[in-house]
Amino acid sequence: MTEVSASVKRNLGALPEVMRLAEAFFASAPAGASVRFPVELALEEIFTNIVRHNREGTGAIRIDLRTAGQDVVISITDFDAPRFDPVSDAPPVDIDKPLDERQSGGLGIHLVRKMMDRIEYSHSNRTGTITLHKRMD
Amino acid sequence: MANPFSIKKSLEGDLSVIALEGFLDAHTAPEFEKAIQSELDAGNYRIIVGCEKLTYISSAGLGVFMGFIEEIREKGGDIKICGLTPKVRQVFEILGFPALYDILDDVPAAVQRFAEVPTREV
Repeated sequence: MTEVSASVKRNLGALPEVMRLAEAFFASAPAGASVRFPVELALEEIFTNIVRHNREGTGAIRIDLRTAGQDVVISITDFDAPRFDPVSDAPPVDIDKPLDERQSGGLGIHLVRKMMDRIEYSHSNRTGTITLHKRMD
Repeated sequence: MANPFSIKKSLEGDLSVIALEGFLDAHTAPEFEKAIQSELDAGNYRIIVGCEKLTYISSAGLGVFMGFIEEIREKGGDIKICGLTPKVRQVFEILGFPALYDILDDVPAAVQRFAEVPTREV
């Protein structure tokens, strides 16, 4: 089992640090480029979603990447968040709409939905955790 | 920085070419935004974005394309995208970009497309 984790500041300036964490994980995880790219992408999208949409929140964001069986499992925890499941509570994106009817929001979550195999959300005592699963086979 | 991003600008006749290299994410997207804005400020509305060396893009990067395209097409210009690597292309496809933008193999093909289709409906 491979596992890396870190607490990072809740601002977009911390994104290089988030990506370095993914780099450290994939240096030892038995997963190829076809898994690495969607995992990096999903990690960025969820992290930036938290930073942008929970502006009242304080404190660091916890990120954990691990292998579990055939899955890469990514957990992102915000310890100061109202209940908001970005996947099921976010409005759906209709990618077939013409340009002028599209909304710019929601694209990232749409990517996460398409690229991950399973997405879970839990919330308790102002702590929200999003857990993403990506199969390695 | 672990994942650098850089932009190179050049001209192909009267077309502006913005070549992207590296990692276009929420942290680096503002740089791309500035590059396009400076073209518009200079009155250049015919822009080719070259992605041959772009290794990563997230929704923040795609959002930059979305943010400018209406203004550019209203001025009779366009953004043509070229040189997508397979993994970057996957992101454009999931978000339905091929229906909205001309996506070409390389810069010469994008130049050719500008000659055939200078702009598109918004």
